[in-house]
Amino acid sequence: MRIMNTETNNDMSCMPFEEYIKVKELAFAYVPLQKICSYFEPTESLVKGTVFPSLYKPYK
Amino acid sequence: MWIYEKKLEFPIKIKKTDPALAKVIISQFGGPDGELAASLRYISQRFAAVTPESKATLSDIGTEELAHLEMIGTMCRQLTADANIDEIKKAGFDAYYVDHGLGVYPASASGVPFTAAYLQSKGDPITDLYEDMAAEQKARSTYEYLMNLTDDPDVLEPLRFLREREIVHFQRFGEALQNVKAYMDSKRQFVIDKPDYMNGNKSKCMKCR
Repeated sequence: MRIMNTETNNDMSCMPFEEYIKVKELAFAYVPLQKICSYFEPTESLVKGTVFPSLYKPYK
Repeated sequence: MWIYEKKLEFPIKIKKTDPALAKVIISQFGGPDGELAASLRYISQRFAAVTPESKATLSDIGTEELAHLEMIGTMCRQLTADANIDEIKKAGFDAYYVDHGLGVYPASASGVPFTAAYLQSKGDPITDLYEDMAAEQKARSTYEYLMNLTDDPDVLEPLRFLREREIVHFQRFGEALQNVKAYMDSKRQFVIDKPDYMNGNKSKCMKCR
């Protein structure tokens, strides 16, 4: 587990979601389950609105 | 049961009075995609949730939306608290002012009072979660439109924070959907205790006589 200070998740060795999505049927939405790869620092997380770099998607 | 913490989820200190901005931000207080609708939606839907995980997701996010409601109310108040009559008239805030003064009232940007018709509690846990995911997306869009309408960093920072929370909530509802789907698809077995008269002990069995 890594503590990140940057705004981007550069750790390519860890995918923050399931690698194989088991689609079993039509007409059903699928959001992949999150896997934890890295964290922001606690104080940085409170400012950003998330502790997970993989969920941090700023506007513009 | 709830516990109240006497602080905001994200600090708000707006220095510049701007009633025109308060007039549109109020939509996230009592508008169609606002925090009050979100909170009521999740806190109502949780009673029909079928797994402990989805119940917890709805309770936790419904609670956090109340904290967001508090943030939005604070922003509206700080944007108008020091406004004089000239500023109120110039900003077009006079129509709101005549009904609510400088109080914070749950209404949309166009002045429509809050209504529970903004939300649904369908009693179908899958249907409810689809609505919740859509609600998070609609709130995210609203925050982006609000961010387009200002360049005051004191306002932009809390809006940016609230928008990010919508993205995290979408992910959590998506995960809850997988959880509920797995439960609905699972084969369930119902077990009842063997009644006395099937035990072969006829002396104790009243129905066997």
